[in-house]
Amino acid sequence: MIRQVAMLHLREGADGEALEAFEAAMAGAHEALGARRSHLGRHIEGSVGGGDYTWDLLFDEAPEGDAAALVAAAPALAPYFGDGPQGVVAQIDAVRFEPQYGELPEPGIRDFVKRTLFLRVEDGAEAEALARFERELMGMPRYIASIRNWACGRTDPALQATQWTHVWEQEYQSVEGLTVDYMVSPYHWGVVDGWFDMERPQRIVSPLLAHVYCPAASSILGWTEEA
Amino acid sequence: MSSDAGGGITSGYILDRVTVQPGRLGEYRERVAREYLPQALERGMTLVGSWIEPPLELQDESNDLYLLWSFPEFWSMRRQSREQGAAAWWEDSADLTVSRERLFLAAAELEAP
Repeated sequence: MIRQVAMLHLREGADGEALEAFEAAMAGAHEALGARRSHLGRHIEGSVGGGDYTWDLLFDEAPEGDAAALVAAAPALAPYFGDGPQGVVAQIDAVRFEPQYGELPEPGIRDFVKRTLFLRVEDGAEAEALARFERELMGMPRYIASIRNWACGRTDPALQATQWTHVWEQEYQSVEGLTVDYMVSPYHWGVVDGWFDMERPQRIVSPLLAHVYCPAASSILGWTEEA
Repeated sequence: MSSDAGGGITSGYILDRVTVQPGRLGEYRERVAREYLPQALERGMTLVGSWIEPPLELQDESNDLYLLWSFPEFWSMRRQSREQGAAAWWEDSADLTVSRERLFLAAAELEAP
């Protein structure tokens, strides 16, 4: 199985009926692309650096062509990603990877918030530091109970060229689980944030991040267990 | 402690341990006081105290300078640090230092039996 997670940046001024038509078309994206599952989520205010939508796809096998080529070859979707009158998406910022680490203690979660963080570990980071960063990042669910389900992994540039090295995803029952519980946890600011903080000598993560969250009806991180 | 929610807090302490180049301790302390400290105060940080180890300035070897800060709200401090470009100060002063680490601490009081 291959997951594709994309952040979609809208064209300036894209709104109204054009977006409604786009969202309707994207509801059937998995069928148009030969994928097993798909989900399009409009970002909630407070999202930073990742455009306007999170677009999740699950494939049985790696699709041919990168994310842009994939939609360009799908007649039902291509007009929304093009320059024509229906075009609403200006940029697809996508990563692909085989599912790696994660836990799904609440597979039946409903009407919740999915948060996605794209990050880049700086070139030249030492392997020991990288391993510790990943271990501490994936330790967050042990200390932050509002993280119901989570997944973490390295992106695979052989499947999709990208500047991002890692994807860190969580599912929360409510937005406060992210904006309050996640943020006030001393494990977050006192342990994990050191890898991100420009003032701290241990930092290995680029300050350029894509931090987004969107509503979803049923678990996206659970797709790989259903498949 | 502040901002209780789900057992969370966002106040605490920072301990900077800076190993200073031999013979540069006075210059480094002066730069901390003149350049870093005012901006840290603007970010809501308080300098609880500063110490050197060993407890006298060495002639030809490094001293460690310890700076203990408190902060009332982490994310506000963090945001202002980014806006003020605080990281650049550490880079600019790196020629005076050998190494450094920054630790985050929480109060853990002990009661005498």
